[in-house]
Amino acid sequence: MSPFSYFDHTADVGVEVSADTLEEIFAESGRALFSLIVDLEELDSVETECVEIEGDDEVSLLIDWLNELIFLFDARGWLFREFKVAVDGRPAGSGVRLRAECRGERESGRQLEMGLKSASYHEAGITYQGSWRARFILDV
Amino acid sequence: MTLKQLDEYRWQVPVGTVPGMRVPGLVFADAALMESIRSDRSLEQVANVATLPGILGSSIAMPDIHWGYGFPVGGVAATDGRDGVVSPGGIGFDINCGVRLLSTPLVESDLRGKAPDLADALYRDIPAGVGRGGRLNLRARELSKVMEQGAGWAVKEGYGRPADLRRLESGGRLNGADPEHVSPRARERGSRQLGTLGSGNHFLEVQKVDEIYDRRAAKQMGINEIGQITILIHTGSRGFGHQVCQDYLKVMNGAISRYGINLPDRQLACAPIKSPEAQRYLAAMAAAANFAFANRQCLTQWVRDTFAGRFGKRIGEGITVVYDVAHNIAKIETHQIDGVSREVCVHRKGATRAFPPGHLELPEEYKAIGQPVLVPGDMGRYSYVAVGSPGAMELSFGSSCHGAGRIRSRKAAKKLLGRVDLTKRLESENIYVRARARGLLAEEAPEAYKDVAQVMRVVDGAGLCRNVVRLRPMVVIKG
Repeated sequence: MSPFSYFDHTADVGVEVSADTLEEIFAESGRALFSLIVDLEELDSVETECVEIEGDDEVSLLIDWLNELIFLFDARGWLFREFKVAVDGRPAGSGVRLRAECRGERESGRQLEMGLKSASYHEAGITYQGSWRARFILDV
Repeated sequence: MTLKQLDEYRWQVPVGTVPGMRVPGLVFADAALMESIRSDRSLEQVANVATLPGILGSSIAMPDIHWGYGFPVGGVAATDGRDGVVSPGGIGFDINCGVRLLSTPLVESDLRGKAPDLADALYRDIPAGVGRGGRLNLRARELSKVMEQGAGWAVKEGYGRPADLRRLESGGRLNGADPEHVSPRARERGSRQLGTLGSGNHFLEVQKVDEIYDRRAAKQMGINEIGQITILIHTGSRGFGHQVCQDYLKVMNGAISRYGINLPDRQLACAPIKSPEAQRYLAAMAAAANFAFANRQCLTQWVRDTFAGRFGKRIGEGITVVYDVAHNIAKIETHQIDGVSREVCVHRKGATRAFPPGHLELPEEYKAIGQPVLVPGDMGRYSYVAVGSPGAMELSFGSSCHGAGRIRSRKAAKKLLGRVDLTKRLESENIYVRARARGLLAEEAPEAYKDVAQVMRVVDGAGLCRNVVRLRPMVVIKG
């Protein structure tokens, strides 16, 4: 069973992700996002881009992570299929930090299925009840 | 949710429906549309918007309303120009997403047997699609000029004519744009995206006039006969605008506690209009709006070139701008409230300005008839051109609807269409579609949208605008 699935939303796309660790939640959220754009199985993991972002809490970190991926796709032509993610506390104090190695292709001229405008806070959430679950909506 | 029906086309969301409402909500709809409006949570959003500090009149919803980011899509909210707030969610991610209508000297018979060929030519010449750059790659200084000058920059560079500008809302340029308040990220996204259609529900359509409701007004716009060919372009500020909105939502999220603003929904993040945060947002929003005006101006020239290539130079030169409207924007305007003239910030998100006859902002040729209001429908049915009516100034801060509004999610639309070959089905109706994204067509099928004729009946009946012509698609280019 896929760690992520999509749910109905009138004009946009809703995503639900489940995983054993918080890091996998972020990784699978990234895969869910790129799966809307391209068939991940067709991508080669030939190049790597490193991302580091900070947020006040896990939910804002998730939204910022998704928007970072949208920026890298839209501005720099990146398509990612794999993510190695670490999430820990902010070095400077409260809040959280994400560091990720994102692997995929860049400006490879593939046929793409969907454009994404932004990740939104609408119904966004991360919960833990024995395993991790996340939910968010992408404005398309 | 209990609504109070005021008359055939107006429904009130009473104060108190959600805690903290400062004004009621006002929904323009008929009974049938109200049923579909109730099926998502957009009415809750109408009520939430009514809690914004400084909101005046009502939190307004057009009949094509559906759920959006904080504000519903199809919403209008005017806040006090001195003490009110500005909220990026009230404009939307695609700043100055809008529509431009062009008239041509051609009629339907000129396209007989040539429509598929024309579709292929436009598909080749008009940059569209996901992740595709355009024909322009702007250096930083040029991009700054685009932000400051809008469509005027494009005309100076040879995309179109000076006469085009008078028929664009705000002359194709908002004052107050400041590139200094636009992030390097937005610039990076915008540098290769000027002159592109984008994807999703954006399109370029070649259409024919199939009904004329007001001959005099139509003639004034250059629409003279049934069967005349027109072209409609629907696109906005692309990744540039999306990034500006995202950047300032973060800024506003930080600002709300600083200014002691309590909101029922985080996505209504806002700041007082006179605050540094809001002023920077308005300057960046204007820059993005100008990018979108320039975008549609570039596309206009390439449309002229494609038609000239197929039908001759005289035809290309005969393609004229009817009007260009923004349907995701905030404007500082003067409106009468309780008999007093007040400066307000009108947020229109999925709503179109609809100024009536006589308004000073209209070009001379439209002062007698009112501002053209361009309302695209879905790709299988029709679009409308209307003109603003005095009722819009009384009831909706000079605003009307923007389109058909979705009734089915993308997933549901794809499921409903199943294995239907939409391209073939539309071709059997003499509509030639060219689309880059394989799955997109089903998501954008007519079945995904409300019937725009029903939406127009409401806004016409409520006195917001008056129908002038109906247009039917012949060629549809999608990203």
